Amino acid sequence: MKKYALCFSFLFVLFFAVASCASAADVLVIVNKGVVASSISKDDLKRVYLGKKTRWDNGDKINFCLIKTGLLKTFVSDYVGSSVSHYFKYWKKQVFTGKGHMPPFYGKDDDVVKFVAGTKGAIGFVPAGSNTDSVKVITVN
Amino acid sequence: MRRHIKFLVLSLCLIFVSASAYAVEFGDVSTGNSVAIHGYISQGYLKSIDNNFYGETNEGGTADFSEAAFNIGTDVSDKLHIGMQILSRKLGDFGKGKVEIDWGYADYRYKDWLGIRAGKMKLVHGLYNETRDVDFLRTSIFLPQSIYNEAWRDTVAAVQGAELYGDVYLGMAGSLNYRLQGGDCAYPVDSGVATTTEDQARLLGMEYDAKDYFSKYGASSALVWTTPIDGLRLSLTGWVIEFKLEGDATALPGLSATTGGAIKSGQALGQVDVQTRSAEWTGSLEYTIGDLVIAGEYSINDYDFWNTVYGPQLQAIVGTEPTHSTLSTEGYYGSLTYRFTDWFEAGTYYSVYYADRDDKDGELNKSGARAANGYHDYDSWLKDLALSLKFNVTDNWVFKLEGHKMNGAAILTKSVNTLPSTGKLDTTEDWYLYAMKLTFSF
Repeated sequence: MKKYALCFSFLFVLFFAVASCASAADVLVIVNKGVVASSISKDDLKRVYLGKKTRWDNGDKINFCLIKTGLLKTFVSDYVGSSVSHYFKYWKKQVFTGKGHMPPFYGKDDDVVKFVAGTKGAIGFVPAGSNTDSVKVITVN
Repeated sequence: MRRHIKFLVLSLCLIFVSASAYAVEFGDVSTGNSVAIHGYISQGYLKSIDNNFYGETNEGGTADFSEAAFNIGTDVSDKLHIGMQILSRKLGDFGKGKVEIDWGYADYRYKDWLGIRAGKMKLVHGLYNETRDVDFLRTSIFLPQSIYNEAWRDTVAAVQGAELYGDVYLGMAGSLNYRLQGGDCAYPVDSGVATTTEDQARLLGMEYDAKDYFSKYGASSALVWTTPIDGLRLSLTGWVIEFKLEGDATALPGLSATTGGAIKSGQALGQVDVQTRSAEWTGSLEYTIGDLVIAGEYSINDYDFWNTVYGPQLQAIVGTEPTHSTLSTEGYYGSLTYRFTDWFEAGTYYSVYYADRDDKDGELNKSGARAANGYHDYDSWLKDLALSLKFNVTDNWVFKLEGHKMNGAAILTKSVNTLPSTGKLDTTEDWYLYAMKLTFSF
């Protein structure tokens, strides 16, 4: 009985590990080709999207954007550690206390890529398989 | 009432106005060369059973409960942001619908760990003071009064001066956000602060009519630790303000009783200056787990009062030198909110407030001038069990319903809970408050 329980527990853990990896793999984090970094830590990515990290290491301003599709939920959950509603509430609080402005968000992957490609220091995220020729894909550590 | 119904109808028409869910924007948002305008309009209704809550809420209820705000902001450069919000609010006798600058400042962010702001900024107090007027961002209509007393809202609304702030990344330990504010806290003489001073004067058997207000200084600080545990943050805030009110005092029945009739009820007592220093510390915790938010805060406020009397009758009793007295209040609450669906949230909190930490049972109210003025022991505390329902009708419209089961009558404005015929306080220990509110935001 103990053997089966151990086996089941292992499969249980493996299932969720695979599920989590699949979720993260759906998201490509992209930056403007002028951004030097080829990777970003998960902590730093979270801080960028909460407006707490506003500069790249070379001092360039970080401009970030959001996408208004189901991918937003995955990104906010996996990388910001929040729900979409709490995340928007957080930014509305910044707006109504004068501490920031709502980040731009786009309805289509192409628009996100266009924003990132055309904006210095920009960072965004798109689904895996998007056309990223005009931007640089970076890894999240 | 008719005016409020017209306001509601007009607001409902806004449902058909096509507007961005989040702002009206001019310029190119993607490059930062844009000006964004946001705002909200809300109308509420309050009904209490037995005690009046900051206005005439007992008899028929009141629609004197509304806010409107508009803010505008833009990035002047990639380090400098400017913005301003104007606000008009009404809660019973507070606010009176006057339009004022809620906040307006320039914000220069030198580094992520160091920035400076100058202008009029929301004062840091607890986790939620800065957004206390923006209730569509939370589940409840009223924040727990033990920490966010509506009568003192004007006192802790804003500081005019400067602020140093920053966010320090601590690696595996999370991050620490700090804020240091200093300047001047100015507000109208008929604000909630004056009302509270008037209520304090009643404890001494006097009716106080504030005529002028002078601010000495205001300073506040905050440390917010965003812990490595996702969704958990801890905070410690503290502020101190000092100001003076000048006004006229009139004797109430209680003073007449304690002076053996030497002073008659209704007798003019001359000018009384009240200098107040108030220092408050608040410890807070907020834990967000998915759609569940657990929060709790604890606060102590220490007051120093220096009263100088100029009328001969009062000088004969207390002398010509300023008298000094102290008071310490205590408040705390625990709350839970849960977002069931995109359109429905519910929340509850239990809040406790003591008007005097050294007299939590209200024993001092049972004798002397206080008893003669109609005070009871339960006027020393306020225990509030609240239930809130929030309906996110659309991205722009929010509707809320809220009920409070109250025990105690501390914090309540005494002037609206006084029997006109006797001038004595007339409160009930167990009472209820119901509220509903409709808000349009963009």
